[in-house]
Amino acid sequence: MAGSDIKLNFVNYSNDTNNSSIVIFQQNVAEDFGEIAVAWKVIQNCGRLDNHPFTYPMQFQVSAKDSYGNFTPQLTAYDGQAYEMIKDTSGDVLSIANTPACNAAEVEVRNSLQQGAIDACIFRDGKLLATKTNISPGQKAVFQFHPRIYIGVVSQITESQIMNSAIIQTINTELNLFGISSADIVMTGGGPGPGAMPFEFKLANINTM
Amino acid sequence: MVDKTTVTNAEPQVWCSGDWKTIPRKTVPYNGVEIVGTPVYDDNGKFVSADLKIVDCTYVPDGVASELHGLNVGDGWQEIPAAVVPTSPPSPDANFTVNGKLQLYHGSGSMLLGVDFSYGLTGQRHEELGFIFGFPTTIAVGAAASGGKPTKGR
Repeated sequence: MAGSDIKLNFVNYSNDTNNSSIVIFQQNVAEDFGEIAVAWKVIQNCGRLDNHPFTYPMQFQVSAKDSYGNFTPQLTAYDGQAYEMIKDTSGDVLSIANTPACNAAEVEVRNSLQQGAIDACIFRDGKLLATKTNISPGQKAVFQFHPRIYIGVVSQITESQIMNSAIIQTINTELNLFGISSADIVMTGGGPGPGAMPFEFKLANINTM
Repeated sequence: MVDKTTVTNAEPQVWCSGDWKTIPRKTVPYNGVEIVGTPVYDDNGKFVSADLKIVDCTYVPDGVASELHGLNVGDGWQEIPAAVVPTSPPSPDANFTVNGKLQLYHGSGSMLLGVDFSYGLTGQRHEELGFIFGFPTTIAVGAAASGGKPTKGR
C-alpha cells in the first residue's frame, strides 16, 4: 500500500503506577483473526504525562528466513505481489515471483525451494509485524493488513514477540487510521486502589490527509 | 433547495470490524460489526450527506441493524441509534450491542467517517476509534450512475 507515513504520538495521561507497557500490533487479515499476532511496538517506561512519538509507515517490507538461519534482505512489498524463496548459485534468495498473488490486495511469500522450510516475516518501520513459520516447500504465506492498529496495556511482552490468543483477547481497542496523517493516542484510566478505572485510549489532535 | 434524490449512485462503502469473520462463529459472539455507508450527492455531483447502516452480529449471525440517515459534516458527533424490534410500539432490540457515535469530517478530497463506539459481549467489549472510510466530496454527474456493489473501506 503506497502513501505517506502516519505520525502518531502516544500520550500517557493515565494514573498508572505499575510502569505498564503498551503494546501495539496489527492483524494479518489474510489469516483468522485472533489466532496469533506479533508485538510490533512496545512502549516502555513512558511515565505519566510523558509522550512517545512514533511513525506508522504505509509501506511494509518482506523477508524470509531459511532453515539454516539465514535472513534475506527486506524487500518493500506491494499489494498483489508474490515473492518466492529460491536457491540460486549463491544460496537461498528471496525474489519477486513471476506470477502475482492470487488476491490483488494480498502479498504472498512462497517457498519454492526443493527442500527445507522457511519462515516469512513482515516488517514495518524496521520492526517485525507478522510472521508465518515453517512454510514447507510448495507452500506459501499470505499477508494483508488494513490501516488499523490494536493498542493495549500488557506486562512482560517484548517487541517481536508472538502473542497468543489469550493475550490478544485482552486488547480490545482498534484504532482506524484511514485518512489520518497524524494524531495523538491518549491513554487515561488506571491507578491504584478502589478508584482505579480501566485503561482507555482516545484519538486527539487528528490531522487528516 | 438541494435535491438529495437526484444522484445517489456513488458506490457505498463497507467497513467490517477487525474481528469480522467471513464465516460466522458457531457460538456468541457470532461475528463483529459491519457499517455500510451510502453517500448522497446533489445535481452537481457535490456531496450532501451519507446514510449509514450499522449491523451488529454479536448475538445474531445475520445481524441486527440500526440506521442513521442524512449524516452531514455540520452535524457533529451523532449517537448511533439503537436497533428496534418491529413490534407495536417498537422496542429496543437487546441483541444490538453497539454503543457510541459517528461523525463526518471534511478531509482533503473526501468526507471521512469518524467512529467512536464499543460493541460486543459484556466484559469483552471492543472499542473502535478513528476513521473507517471516506466518500468523495464530488463525483462526475452521470459517470457514477452505476449502482455498483459496495466496496470495502480499508
